Amino acid sequence: MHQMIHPLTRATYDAETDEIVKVTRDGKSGLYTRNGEYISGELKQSVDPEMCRWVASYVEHKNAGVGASARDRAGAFVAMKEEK
Amino acid sequence: MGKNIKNRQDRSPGLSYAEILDTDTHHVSEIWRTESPADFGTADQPSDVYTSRHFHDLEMEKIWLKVWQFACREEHIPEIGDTEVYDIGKFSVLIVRTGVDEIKAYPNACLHRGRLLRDCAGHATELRCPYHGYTWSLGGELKVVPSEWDFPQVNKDEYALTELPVGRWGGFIFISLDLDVEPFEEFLGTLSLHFENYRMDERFVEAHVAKVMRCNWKTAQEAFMEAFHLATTHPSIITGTGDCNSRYDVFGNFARAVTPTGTPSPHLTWDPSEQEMLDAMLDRGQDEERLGVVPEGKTAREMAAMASRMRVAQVADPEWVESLSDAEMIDSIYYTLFPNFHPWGGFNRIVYRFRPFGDEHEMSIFETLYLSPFKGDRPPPAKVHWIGADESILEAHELGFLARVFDQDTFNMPQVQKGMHTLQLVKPGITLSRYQETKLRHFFDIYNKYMSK
Repeated sequence: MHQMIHPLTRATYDAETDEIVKVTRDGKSGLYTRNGEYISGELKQSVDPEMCRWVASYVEHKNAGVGASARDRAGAFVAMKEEK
Repeated sequence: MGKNIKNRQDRSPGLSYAEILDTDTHHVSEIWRTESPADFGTADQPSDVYTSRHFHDLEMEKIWLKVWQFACREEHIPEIGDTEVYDIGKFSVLIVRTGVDEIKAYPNACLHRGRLLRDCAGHATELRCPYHGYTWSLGGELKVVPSEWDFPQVNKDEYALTELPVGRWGGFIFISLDLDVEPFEEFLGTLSLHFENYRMDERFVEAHVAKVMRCNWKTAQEAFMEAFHLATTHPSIITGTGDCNSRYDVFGNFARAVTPTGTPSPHLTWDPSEQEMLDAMLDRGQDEERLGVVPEGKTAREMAAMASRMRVAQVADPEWVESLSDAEMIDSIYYTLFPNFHPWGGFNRIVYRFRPFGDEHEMSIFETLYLSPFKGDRPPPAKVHWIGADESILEAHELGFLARVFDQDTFNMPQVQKGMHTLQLVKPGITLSRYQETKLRHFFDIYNKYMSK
């Protein structure tokens, strides 16, 4: 749904829902809450709660219909694409 | 005021902000090149100012009853007779437009028994107390004394509403509860020069969100006064944000931070490409289509600035937009005017205000206003969208992407407040960095002067 590589640890954070985030590092994966609490899976270590929130909130906003807007930097690029 | 420092031995590795400005594709005004660092030393900041009722009460007396503070925008009271209510702690101020170009502010209390004259904003032809009906004109003259025969001691000339000092700048209305407050222009200093190219009075309140927080107002605002927290609180953006390359400047009663985008964080142990930086700036996931492509020979900064210019030119004078530098279009330029007013510079539309929630010392109101340019008739200002202490800031859909950024910030703020009580068992103060937390140290430099008066 919203997969991002952590710029410092290089782990992959992938929001499965707005509450559950799959974290993958060194070939192992685990499921975590949006606050970074471990749920299940082979990867059981401290993960970054803020990165979990970031990808989960993307899903929450997407489900609520909040897209890139004119107020956002991304919105400027969306508009530029639409104008082409 | 701290001692000025000239050398760069105590700065982060990586490009300086001055070097980043040298790459700008547009003219960079002198105000952005001017550096005004300050060194406030390395002493710990006592943490009881965040947690103690005693300090809250002292702040009410020594700061909030004394200082100039942002109350509302002129557009909130466009017509003669429009009123706005501004509450600070246990005090309330009534702001009234009394003429086309005249605004007055009064203590919001009936001189009879003290009831608030008005509970909320709205239009009025007179200021009538809802309790017994004492009535004043918009200009503050006492007009009606109910059962006047029963108040032989009330002389109408002596029962006019007290006019509080009002300051106006850039469409913002400031008030002070101190009749002897210093002149507004002196308090503001050179702030208006920093904003003279941003036409703040030609903006409208496109969004206004007020979030109740379970933390002291200073705890809340300090989350928005430095870029030091970005790598930990907002890690996804540092691929394209020079957090440690931020510059911090101090000018009298206000301070400025500038955080560049389209440049990598010195924290990274790898070198992102221009495309990777732009993708990070646009929050593109690995599984999503690219929103923008950086052509060969171009930079992420140039592309982001170009897109912003095109977008803004649709609602603002294109010549004006073209006069702004890349830095003004895309960097985070965040000011703090003591004690709680945080307008962003450049094209950024953000204005923050933080204040105590009622008379609570461990609760606060965190407000965000989007001030946007417009074409044609001025749109009406957005109504305040209140979000409770236990509700998520993600509900503020009108903030778009920024609500997700705030979701990360608000994850910390109440926990900082709670943690400080425990910290006090082992250590009386918080340990601030010397440079990156300059704005916090500058705040406390002024704060301590007010508190010791």
